Amino acid sequence: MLIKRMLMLFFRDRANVFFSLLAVLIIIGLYVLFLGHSLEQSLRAALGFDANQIGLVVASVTLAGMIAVASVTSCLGALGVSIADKQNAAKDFFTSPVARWKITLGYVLGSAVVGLVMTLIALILCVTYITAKGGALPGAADCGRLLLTVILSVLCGNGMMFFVALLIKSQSAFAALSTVTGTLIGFLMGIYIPVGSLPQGVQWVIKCFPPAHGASMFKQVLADSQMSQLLAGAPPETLVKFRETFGVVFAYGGYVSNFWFSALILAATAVLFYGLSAVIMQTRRT
Amino acid sequence: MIIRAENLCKSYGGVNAVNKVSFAVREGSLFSFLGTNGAGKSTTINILTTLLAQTSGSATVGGYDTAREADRVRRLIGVVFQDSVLDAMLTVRENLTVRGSLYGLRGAKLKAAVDNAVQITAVAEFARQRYGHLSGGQRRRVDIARALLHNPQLLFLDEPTTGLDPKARRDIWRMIRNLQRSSGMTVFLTTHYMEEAADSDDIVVLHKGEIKAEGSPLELKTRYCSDLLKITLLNGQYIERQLAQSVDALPIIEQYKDNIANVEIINGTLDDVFLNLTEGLNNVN
Repeated sequence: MLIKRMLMLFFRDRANVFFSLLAVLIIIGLYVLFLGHSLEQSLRAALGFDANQIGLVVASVTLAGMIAVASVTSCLGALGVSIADKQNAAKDFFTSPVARWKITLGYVLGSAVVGLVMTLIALILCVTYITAKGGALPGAADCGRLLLTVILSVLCGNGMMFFVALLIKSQSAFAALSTVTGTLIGFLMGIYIPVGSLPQGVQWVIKCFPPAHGASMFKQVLADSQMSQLLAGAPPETLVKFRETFGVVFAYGGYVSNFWFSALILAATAVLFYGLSAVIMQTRRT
Repeated sequence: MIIRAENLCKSYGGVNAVNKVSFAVREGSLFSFLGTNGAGKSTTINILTTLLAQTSGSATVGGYDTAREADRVRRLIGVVFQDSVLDAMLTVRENLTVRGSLYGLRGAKLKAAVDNAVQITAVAEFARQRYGHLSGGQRRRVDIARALLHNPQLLFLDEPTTGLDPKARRDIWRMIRNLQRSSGMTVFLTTHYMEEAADSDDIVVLHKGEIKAEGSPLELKTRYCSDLLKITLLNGQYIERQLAQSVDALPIIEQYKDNIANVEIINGTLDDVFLNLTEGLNNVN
């Protein structure tokens, strides 16, 4: 019932839904206005030839990153309910005999459900757009990998955001956090500027930012095949370099990440942050 | 006794919000807790409703220790908070359903509990409206419905009529009194409106974290305020006397009986008691 409450409160508050997707809407806006065009031009210049596939690759890479952004910001938006409750409904809950862990679980699961719903909607819209632009519909295996990526991205983003939300007491602080997250996440996911174009230090920040691995996984499913087709005649090392530049994979010295490595990073991050949250809650109680 | 507080203390960084407060509340009674802002009322209520742990002393509700047996206490109490704590975006019925589930109610039992609370507090006509769209008086009725969902033995009302218009206040009070009479429920009230405490069985006046006075409204009025006798004589002379009780007016009236144009006795009120106690002025002494 507490999960249902959270869903009702989140989805009925149109402003909350809007602001939780603001970063996503900004990415779409920038892509439509100039980001897509600018990336396509850079790509043409780098490759030295033109192809219809270029627009498709840019769209796939950008939208894949956008889905990963949705998995984080929608969870954060939903957790706004828990922050509002701290100033209001919490005392009502705490004078009833329901165990506190059940209330907490309601917030965690509620925000995860919101994250899943919003990320799945974003995924469906993006796949529809990519398909309409000439891309192939994902097969059954790819659908499975996309679903796994959605789940892990949401769990990772939700775990991190829940941990941060635990440390926040006021709605003004939460609003500030949402603004900062919405502003930075596009960069941290390597959407606005290709990862490979950034200075080494910044590249490492992105490589170490766990949700960026969600973006990497989405890109591997949605954009990898388009890249391979685009660079079919090029030497293999060009494709490797290309994938690193666009954040499809991350290179850590001699090791290059793959789908399952990134999946492990997301899962481990989720476990870490849910664990840290549990420790904090236990510490506060004693 | 449904509530017992003994030497209850709560301090914040060396400042005593509540200092050695002891009182008891009889089962089935209407008990009023009076005090100025910052007197320690909310701190005491927060301890009794298990929201806050005391620094020292003890408190029991229904025989259960509020600190060690909080879960049992929570099953016995319903709380109407000073501020709205229900969800503005949910309808009245949705709010009550969510809150009812916190007491382990499910399915038909939950629906029956919600229906019962809706009926008792007469909120059926706006039960499908969003809580955030209701007037102040309607919201208060819903707050009370929420507090009654699990048929509590003890209802805490923390300044329940603050900010309401006189009609809404009257309606809320009628409902509370009817409830109390019909169910025998104990009501623990804090209020700034002294006339609302006038019907209480017992009153405790708290000031700066300490109990200043306790007793029935009549006992407090007798002890802490006076009546006022005003006589206007036929020659226009005006006489005013403070009286410990109204009956003390008789010998004075007798003294002037052949020369009186007008007599008026103004009874002391709980407002006087409250002001005398909290401002340190006692007209009787």
